[in-house]
Amino acid sequence: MSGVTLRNVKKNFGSVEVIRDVDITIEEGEFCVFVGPSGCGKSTLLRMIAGLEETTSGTIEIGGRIVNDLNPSQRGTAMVFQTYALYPHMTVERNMGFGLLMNGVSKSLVKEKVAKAARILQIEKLLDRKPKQLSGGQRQRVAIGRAIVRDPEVFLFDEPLSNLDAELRVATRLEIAKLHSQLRGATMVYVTHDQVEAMTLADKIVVLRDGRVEQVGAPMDLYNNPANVFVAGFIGSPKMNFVDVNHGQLPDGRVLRLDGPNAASVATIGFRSDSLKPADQGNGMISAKVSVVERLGDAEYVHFQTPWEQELVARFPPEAEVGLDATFEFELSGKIHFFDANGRALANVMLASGAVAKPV
Amino acid sequence: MAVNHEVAASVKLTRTDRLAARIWKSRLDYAFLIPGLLVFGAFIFWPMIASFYYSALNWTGFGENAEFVGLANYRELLQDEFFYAAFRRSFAFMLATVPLQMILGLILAIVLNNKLLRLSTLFRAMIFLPVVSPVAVIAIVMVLMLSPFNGPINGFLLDAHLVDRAVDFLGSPQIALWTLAGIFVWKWTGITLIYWLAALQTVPAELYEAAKLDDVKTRQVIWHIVLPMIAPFAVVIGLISAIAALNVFPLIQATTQGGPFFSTEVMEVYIFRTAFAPASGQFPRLGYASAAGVLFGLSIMVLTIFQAIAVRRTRRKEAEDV
Ligand SMILES: Nc1ncnc2c1ncn2[C@@H]1O[C@H](COP(=O)(O)OP(=O)(O)OP(=O)(O)O)[C@@H](O)[C@H]1O
Ligand SMILES: [Mg+2]
Repeated sequence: MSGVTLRNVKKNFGSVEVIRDVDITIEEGEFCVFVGPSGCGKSTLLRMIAGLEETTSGTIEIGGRIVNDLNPSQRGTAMVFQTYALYPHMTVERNMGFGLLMNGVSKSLVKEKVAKAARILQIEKLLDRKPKQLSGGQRQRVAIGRAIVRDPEVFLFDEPLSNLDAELRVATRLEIAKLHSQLRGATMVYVTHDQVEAMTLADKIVVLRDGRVEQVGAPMDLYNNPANVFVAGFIGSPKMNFVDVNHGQLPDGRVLRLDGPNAASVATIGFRSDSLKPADQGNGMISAKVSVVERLGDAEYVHFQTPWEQELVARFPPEAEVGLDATFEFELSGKIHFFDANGRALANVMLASGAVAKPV
Repeated sequence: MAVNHEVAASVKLTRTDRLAARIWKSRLDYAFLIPGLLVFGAFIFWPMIASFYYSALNWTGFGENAEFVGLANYRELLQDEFFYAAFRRSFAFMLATVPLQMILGLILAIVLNNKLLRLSTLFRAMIFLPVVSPVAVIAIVMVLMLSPFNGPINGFLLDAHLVDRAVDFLGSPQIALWTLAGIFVWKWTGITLIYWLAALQTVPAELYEAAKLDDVKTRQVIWHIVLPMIAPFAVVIGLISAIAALNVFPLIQATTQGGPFFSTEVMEVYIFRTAFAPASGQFPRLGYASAAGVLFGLSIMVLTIFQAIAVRRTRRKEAEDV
């Protein structure tokens, strides 16, 4: 079993730079998720690891071997495609065993391996069916089974859940997590644009944007200490609230008192929905008007609009009676994030409490 | 019961009423159809009906001397060895060209479907060039190329000592038909190639990638994945090609006119000869030719029905596979 290391990896399609100088280390046995908005290069990066795309420059190591010049089949990886890529005219059993059979593995051994994978995935009853006779979730399992049968050192998943409906997606997500603990030691690289999937599955998340790594870390690391505005906004649901400030001054003229050596460089402050606490009229740091209320049962997410027309979202306890168009004043409490004009996170800044100067 | 009848009648009435109303509502659309229908009727439908009628006449095709003879023409045809020979040649030509064209087209399609192959569009265009060239031009070029006197092909064969004497490709009764089959395949393989390329589009790129990850060799991918997936199309492509291979009149008329010694006289040439260009001293026999045309047409129709059934089957299978 082995880890994956990318060093200074770049990829151009013609003159278009799609992956720009990426360094990633994935430890042996780790569940690593590449996450980022559509078109940021996640699939390309995964396909480069698999060997389906050539690497323009830089090196890719799997288990300590540089694999740049190896064929996909020699890299010890197995890939699960977003579209499953099952052979439509073959039964499930043959789909799973096909690669081994074509490589001269004995029929009885193939049968044994397929049966074992089918047991793990609970698709033993489906072995005689053709892909078109399966549901989306079952096809997904067969695709995963085909990967398991190869005994790969590294599993590569490209958005494996995106063709499933919401309920099945949650269930299958759990099963993939289970699978990872079952196949002890297998390294998994998983691509998604869904940050919830990333948060729930990953040991390590790599946030990508525009072909660059924005931040690498454990899910809660990224949640608690985002390195920049992009990561802060991408990780966590609902999305983090951002407010622009200028030397502590909000767009409506109120002033927040910021302390610390970097206080002067703060251009944006960020805070999550549970950091907004209602305050007495006239004493709040931010005032905003209710625009939408989302009831989730265990909580209510109330969307607000500030006087300068920025959207904020606050978490309220369930059954909080919040009326539309009501105006609230908020204190900020808990973890507050500060970013400079380039969107980079700033350390050593604090918000002094009760730190409001009234608009003049 | 009476009530029921009345109801039924009224329903019927409203139905026809509605149909009439609908036609009236779209009268402009129908008006636009009329010129097309007239042309279709005059040049396709009417000749088809007429040839049935002519086939019952003893008629030169001009003058008023037509004589109704019933099925006599058909009876005579069934005794005519030229008719049988032509019929046989048509189908022999088909059986020679269709498999060759399909296999060649398939091999070329698999090679040219490879996106990694540079210049594949150029090759496709080159192979398609004969398809779009007029038959007359191809015929002239081929007659020159294959000439036993100074044709470059014979020049090459002689220089390479592959033959001792120049081969009279189009002038020898033993091989003229097969030479024409070769020219025909050369001209039309581009079309089959396009059909196969279209069929190959139904194999998603990920399947090739999945096979690549599984270390499945190209040969095995073609044999175990690609061919089974495009096999249903073979029936349709084969039948289209088969029908096309029975339409060789222009090529033969522009090269051998059915000669030498009738050795390339396929059905269409036979019909043409009996109807319009008989040997000297004979009268043209339009009625007799029409009877031959009807029989030939019916046999093609049987093929076409097979094609329609096959197309529908393939479609249904496609729908199931998705
Ligand atoms: N074969 C190709 N030729 C040219 N450009 C490509 C090719 N494949 C991908 N790209 C470009 O590379 C960029 C990254 O594509 P990629 O498929 O890796 O994105 P992604 O992060 O997987 O997005 P998504 O979430 O939509 O799947 C995109 O801008 C895309 O247009
Ligand atoms: Mg993608």
